[in-house]
Order: sequence, then structure tokens, then C-alpha cells
Amino acid sequence: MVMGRGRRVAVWWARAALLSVLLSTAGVVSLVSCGESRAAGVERLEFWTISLKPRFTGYIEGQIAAFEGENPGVDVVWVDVPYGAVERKFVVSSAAGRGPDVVNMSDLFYARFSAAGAFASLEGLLPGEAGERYKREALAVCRIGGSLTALPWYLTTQALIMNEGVLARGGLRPDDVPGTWRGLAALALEFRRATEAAGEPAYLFSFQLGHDSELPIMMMADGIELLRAGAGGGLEPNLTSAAVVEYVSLFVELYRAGGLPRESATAGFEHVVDHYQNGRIAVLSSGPNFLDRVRGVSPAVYEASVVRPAATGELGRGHIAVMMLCVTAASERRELAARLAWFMTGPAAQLAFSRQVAVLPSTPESLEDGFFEGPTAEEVASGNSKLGEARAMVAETVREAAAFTPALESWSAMRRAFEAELKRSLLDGVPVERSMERANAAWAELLRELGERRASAGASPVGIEVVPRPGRLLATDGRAER
Amino acid sequence: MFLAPALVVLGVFFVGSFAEVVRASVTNANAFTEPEFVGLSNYERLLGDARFWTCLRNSFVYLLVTPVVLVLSLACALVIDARVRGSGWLRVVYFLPVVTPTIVASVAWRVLFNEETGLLNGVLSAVGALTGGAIGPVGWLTSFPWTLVSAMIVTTWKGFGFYMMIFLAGLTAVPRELKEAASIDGAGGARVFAVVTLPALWPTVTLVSVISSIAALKVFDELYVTVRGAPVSHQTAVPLVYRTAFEENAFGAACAAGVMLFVVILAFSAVNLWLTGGRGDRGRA
Amino acid sequence: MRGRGVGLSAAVMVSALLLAAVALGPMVFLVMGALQPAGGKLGAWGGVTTANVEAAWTEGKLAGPLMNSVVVTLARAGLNVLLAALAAYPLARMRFAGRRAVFLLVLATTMIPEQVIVVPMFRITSGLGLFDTLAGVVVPFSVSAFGIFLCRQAFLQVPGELEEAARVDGAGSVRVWWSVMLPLAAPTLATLGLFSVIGAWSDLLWPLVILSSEERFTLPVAIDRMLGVFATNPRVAYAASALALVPVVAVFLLAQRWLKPEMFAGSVKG
Repeated sequence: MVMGRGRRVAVWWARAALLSVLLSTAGVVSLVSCGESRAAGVERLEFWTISLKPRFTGYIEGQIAAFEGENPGVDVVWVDVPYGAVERKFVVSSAAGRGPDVVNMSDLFYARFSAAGAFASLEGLLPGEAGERYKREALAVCRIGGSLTALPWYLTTQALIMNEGVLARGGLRPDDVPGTWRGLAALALEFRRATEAAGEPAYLFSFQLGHDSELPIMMMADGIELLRAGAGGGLEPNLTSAAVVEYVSLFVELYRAGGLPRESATAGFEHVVDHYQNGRIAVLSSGPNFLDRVRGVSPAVYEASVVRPAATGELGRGHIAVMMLCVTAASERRELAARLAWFMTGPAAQLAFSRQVAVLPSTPESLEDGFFEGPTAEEVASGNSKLGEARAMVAETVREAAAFTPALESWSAMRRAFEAELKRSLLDGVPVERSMERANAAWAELLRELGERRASAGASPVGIEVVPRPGRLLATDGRAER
Repeated sequence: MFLAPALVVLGVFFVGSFAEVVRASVTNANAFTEPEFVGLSNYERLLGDARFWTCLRNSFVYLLVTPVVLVLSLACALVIDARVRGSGWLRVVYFLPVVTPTIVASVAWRVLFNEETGLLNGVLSAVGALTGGAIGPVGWLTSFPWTLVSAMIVTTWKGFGFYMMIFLAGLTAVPRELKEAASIDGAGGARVFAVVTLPALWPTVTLVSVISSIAALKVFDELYVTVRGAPVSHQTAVPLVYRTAFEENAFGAACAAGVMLFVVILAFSAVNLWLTGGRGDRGRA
Repeated sequence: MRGRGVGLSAAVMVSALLLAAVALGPMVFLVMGALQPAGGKLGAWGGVTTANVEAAWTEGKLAGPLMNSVVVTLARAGLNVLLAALAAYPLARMRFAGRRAVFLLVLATTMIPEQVIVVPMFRITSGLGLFDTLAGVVVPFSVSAFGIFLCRQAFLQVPGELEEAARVDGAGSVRVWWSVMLPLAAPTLATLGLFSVIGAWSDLLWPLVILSSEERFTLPVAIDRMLGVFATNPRVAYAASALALVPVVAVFLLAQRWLKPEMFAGSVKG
């Protein structure tokens, strides 16, 4: 019996495998059967948030319990989705008719999905007057397509966070650092050369230049018009204007000369974080909660960090990124869902949330709280007063800040088209005039399609009023008066 | 009877899904609104789209990983099969990349590929200094074709241990006595390999070549985690499909691209099987 | 001649070791990151701490996901081996009309990009009532064309005389499959089992979309949450990933110990 041994092993193995299959299948099947039982007459609402578990589990569950207490017979099922999985999970579940009723969106995701008709109009569904409750600029972003399809939740505005030690390597002090993007760009190359000469090369700053490019918002914050009123009252792209070409060229040339990290053309914000935490970038623009993260990962860098007001454009106004809550068009309980969104975005709920994390409420009433005036006693006691200082600073700037995002369904497609052409200039050396011409043509086409879509849906045509144009708030020295 | 369970699962979940993909490819489906029939316009637009052709060409460039992986994994399998001291450990070590989650490996690879501080460009700069600038640092994460090369390196790194295990399983079927007999007859190592090992191993070579080339044509993860922000024209076909489906919300158009890609892979694999498979099946079955 | 042989094998060994270093690199990076105290530069050496590992275990609440992953992995791997070995037998050994067509159809299922198929597959799976269940994670991937392909190749290599001998002794198809084919293909089946364990253990995309309640999350889904840009400390996520690797590496080492190729090599002499 030559086969004896191999066969015994194989037979033993096959039996073990079969047994494990049977056991696990039994386990799986028993798990299927549970979970389906649900009390009759209970109204179920599915609520999705982005990346709030596990840090804010207590807060969200508390709010949900309060909502369920006010609305007997309602069962809110909370699902938290990691940021990187949002688009995939939302698209896949919605396509199968298993999407959420209320969903948390960033302004960029919101524009992208409202273009596809994902959200229900909230007009007539809300228990109160939205115009009186939320910051006007934040609410404006929620009106894509003319009707209100989202409620502003928390706001993130930026501050400049600087590493004093790295600045010193290039011979700068925090107070020498300009408060505008143009000013930063003007110093960047010199700073790079100085640190190279000192033997420890560093960049003055970096940001998302190419990937999810921040340039369009920066240009609008500089008072440059990317869109203009067309002849027949419509909207026309304005990317070939001298001002746009000049601004884009400024950063393309800086990049190509080596004044910004190579990855700034293709990588997301994580490259800025990584460089900053490792002392290779002196200045970054981020929300104050970033400091909390640095504190955990690199205490030494945290110690060397100081906070200054956000970099602005010529208008002197910072940009507000709005997180919002939407009711999906597919929801079968729109009114109830709208009530949940209204509840979660209320002044009391938002203030409580801001106390947990360094974000700002979109309800001006909550901003009046003393919490936003400086570090709390506990923060001072735990040696974390920088966080409180940063919070006070951004709370100060948020009053004058603007949301520069145009309320356009095509905005995310337009940004993508702009970005694709910008990358050709950054990486392949295409002249900026040429790439902006192509981006301009792409925008014209997108706006034409949008006009047709709106016309066929009987909606109002797109006009210049969707583009936020806040006034100038600037003294002559390039810094905002505050 | 033997086939039934497998065919039911594959039929319901894969063939069924694919039928839906084909159906969606002739609509303007977008996950949120009722789809409308749009005929073949998705396909027309796709065939006229320069991006699609560039990405498809890049997918074929990506196929270069297949011979590299094939040779590397076969060589490793032969070394380990030779039972030199420590080869058991080599087998474990070579297999570790396979079990490392791509998302975790990518963190390490991004550090290595970093164009300014990464080890790879550090080495290239040092070599460049010696050779008078004939060789220098390259744009692993930003410039074409290096974006493809970076992802191909990760694919090779992650894949060779996997295919090595397949070769090792295949090698156990090669009668050791035959090899010993051949070497006693005075045949050198290379000759034993060519006359005895390779023919016996041919079905496995076919398997690895078909599987790894399908994987190369469908590559997504490595590109997504290492060079995500690179222009889509610096990447391959599946990232384009992903972008169309999930970022541009044009699910119908993405399905059309998916169906086209399926046809291309099918045709390519048929040719591949025909070229390599004929030899292995002959005289067997 | 002799000198050349030694030179060649020295060169082979050096390249083999270099390759081992490359293969190990990212893993070392991961483990170092996991064991490093806060403050050090990632990838640089600066002391050892188990704080990250403890934080990953307690803060990440990994015990539940671990159990789910074990169940899902066992079910998926077991079913994969069983169904693939069943399906591969007629494809390799029986003559019937359309055999080649069936085989090509099976192979064709591997050629569809997952990025588009995930949407209809989600619809079908949840239509069967398997949304947010562990069965929903297992069933669609309970057999793979790759596994069928692998087993078919192994069966093709079994010498025809063995099967004929068994049939002369009066064995039917099921007997032949069970007593001749399976033992002889055992190394391949073990390899397939191992691959299925690894594939099922580290699968992220599908469980991420089909599961929604936290109590059913598998390990990769739980880790993905920790790795996000918003995570406070990447080292804790590395520690979690390193923890997740321990069981697969252990399974691999055990498989490697038990399934020595010699055990099976002899049987071919039959």
C-alpha cells in the first residue's frame, strides 16, 4: 500500500474540512434567521454618518435616543460609514433600493449626488424656518437646483498651523508668515532654498494642488471670477481670463520649480499631514482638530506648533466647508426623515457636538456660547490649551468666512474637468493657457448639458446668482482686518 | 451532478449579475433615478473616447507583469523544491506579501516610492552621481509611465509568492525518480528542467499565465492605493470604470466600459489558452 | 564545471535572500509602526511599546469582528474547496457534450471587473434576503472559477491508469472522486484551502458593502474604519492590522508543517 500515508492524511483533512463547512454553514444560517424579527408598527429610519465611530458613538447615540423619545414608535438605525467608503457604499445600496433615509454628506459629495437626483426637496417638510436657524452662507450651499435639499450640519474652517522649529530653519518666525495664499507662494521657493542650504530641506507649505484641487476655491476667495453671467442671462465659464491664467500659472510655476512637494499634484491631504508630522513642512492649513491628531502621533511637533488665522485670498475671507444632512429621494418616510435631520442640526445638538470635537456649528446661536471664546479650564489643566486657542481663532474667522462653493449640480464634474487639465500643466508641461482653454471648453459643455437638463425638468435656468460673491473685507496690507 | 452546486452559485451571482451589467449598459442608469433605454450610445461614446483607448493600451502594457511574475515564481518554486537548508523559511517569507492586506502594504510602498525622501529614488540618485547623470530619480507616483511601473512592482511583490505556491503544488506531481534517473544519466540541471520538469509542469504554467494575465488586465487595488491621484490617462482600464461608476455617477456608461473590457479579456485569454493550453492537454484527459 | 556550479548556486542563494528582504520589508515596517511609541518617525527605530496593540484590541473592540471573520473564513474556504473539487472532476475527467463550453463559461466569470459587478451582485444578494448577514458575505463567493481551474489542472495530472484500475475494481464515479482523485490532488486542495482562507480573511470590498450593522463586521471592515484619514493614531491601526495577520500566518505555518510535499509524492508510484 504505497498510497497509505498520503491517503490517510487526505481523508482526515477532507473530513475536517467538511465538518468545518457544516459547522460554519450552520452558524451562518442561524445568524440569518435572527435580525429579521422586528416589531410591527415601528417606523424605521436609517441614518448614515461619515467616520464618526467610535469617537462620537456616545454623542450620536444620545441624540438618537433623545429623538426617539420625542417621537415614539420611531426606530432610528445608525450606520457609520468610513470616509473612503462613502461613494461606493452609497451608490451600491441606493442602486439596490437599500439606501439610507438621512445621510451625512460633505459639500463635494452633496454636489456630486444631487446632480444624479439622489436627494429629496425639503421645502414644506421642515418643522421650522431654515433661514432663521442656519448661517446664511452655509444654507446657500444647500440649495443646488434651486430648492433646499440639505440642512447644514457642522462647519469646518481652516486655521494656519505652523511648526516654529521648521520655520526657523528657513529663517522665518510665525509672524513673518503671510496670511494669504499669494503671499505664501511668493516666499515658498526662497524658503526651500534656504532650508536646503541649511542641510535640512523643508517646504514652506503644501496643499491639495492637483487631487481634489483647492485652486478653484482659492481663486474665488481671491475675488477671481471663474464663472460669469452669459449674454442671455445664463452662466458662462471664464477660465481663459487673464486673472485665472495668472493665478494658476503662479502655482504651476512654483510646483515645477520645486517649491511644493512632488506629491502635491497627485496626493490627497494625507501627504500634507505626513510631511508636517515629520517636520518637512512648516505651515499647513487645516481645521483645529488636526492639532488633536498631531498631539497623539508626534508630541514634539505638537509642542512646536502655533496657530494663526486661516490663509485667505484677496477678499480676506476664509472658506467654510459645510457638512450637511440630506434626506434621500428614495426614502419612504421623507417627513420623518426631515424631522430627524432638523433635530440633529439644531442649535443645542450642534453645540453639544462642537464640545466634543473641534468643529463649528452652522447655527449662529450656538456660536454665542462661551466655549468658543478660548480654552476651557479642563483644556488648560490637561496642557491642551492650543486646541482651545485654535477653536477661538476659527470661531472668530467663521463670522466673516464665506462658503465659496457654487450651488451647481455640475460643480463636482466641473472641478474634475479643471483638475484633469491642471494636471496636464503640472505633470506633462502643457502651457497653462492651453490647459485652461481646454478646461473652459469642458465647462461650457457641462453648463450647456446642465441647462438642457434643467429645461427638460422644467426647472429654472442656471444664472450667476448660484455663484457666491461675498464682498471684499480687506485692509491694504494684505491681511484681513478683524 | 458534480457540477450543479458550483454552477448554481456562479450562475446566480456572476452570470446573473453580468446579465444585469449588460442590460444597464444600454441605459443611462445612475443608481438614483429610473433608468431610460439609450440604445448603443454608451458604446458609441466610449469608442470615440480617447481616454478609454489610452487606458486600454496601458492595461496591455500592464501585462508585462505576467512574464516577470511567471519566471520569478517558477524560479522560487524550483529553489525551494531543491530542499536546500532554510528553503522552508524562504517559502514562508515569500508568501508573507500575499497575506499582507493591500491597504497596509501600500502605506509602506508609498514611503519607498516617495519621490523626494523615498529609498528607491535615494538609490537612483546615488547611482546617478556615479554614472554622471545617465540614471536619476524618477517620478514614481506622478509621471507616466512610472505610475504604471510602481503599481506593477507592487503587483509583482504581492503576487509571486502566490503563484510560487501553485508551482510548488504542481511540482509535487513531477516524479522525483524521473528527475533522479535523468541526472544519473548525466543530464545537467538545465536539461532535466527542460526535458522532465517543464513538460510535467506545463498545465500549471498555463494556469499561472492565464490567471495572472486576467488579474493584470483587471488590476485596480494596486493603482488605487499607490497612485490614486495620478491622471486617469496614466492608469489602466478598471480605474477608469471605477471613476465612471462611482465618481461620475454614470453607471450605464461604466457598465458599457465593463462589458467592452470583458470582451477584450475574453478574447485575450482565449488566444492565451489556445497558445499555451494545447500542449498541456494533449495526451491527457 | 564544478566551480561554475557552486558560483551559480551562490548567486542563486544571494538573490533568494535579497528577494526575501524585499518580501519582508513592508511587514517589518508594519510591525515596527505597531510597536513604536507615539512621537517617533514612522519607519525609524525608537523603542518598543505594546500600548498600540492594547489600544487596538480594546478601543477597536476587535473580539466580535474576529469571531465573525473566523466563521466567514471557515465557511468560505470549506465551501470553496468542496464545490471546486466537485465541479472540477467532470471538467477534467468526463466526456460530455459542452464540457469545453462549461469550462470556458466558468473561466469567463473571472473576467468581469468587480467594480461594476458589485452593484447587481448586491441587488441579487439582498433580494435573497442576505443583506447584512454573514451568509451574504459567504454565499456569493462560496466557489471561485479560480478554484475550479486549479483543481481541474490537478486532476488532469493524475495518471489515467489509477482511475482505470479503480474502475476495474468496480468503483463508481463518486468512489473514484473520493478515493482516487481527492487523495492525489490533496496538495492542490490544501493550497486552494489556504488561498481561500487568505482571500476570505482579507476581503474588504464585499463585506464592506453587504454588511451594515456593527455586530456583524468582519475584521478588515473594522480595521478599515481605524485606518481612515480621520483616525487619530495610525499606529493603532497598524497594530490592529498586525493582529489580524497573526491567525493567517499561523494557519500558513501549520499547513506548511502538516502538509509536507513528501507525504504525497510517494503515492504517485501507485
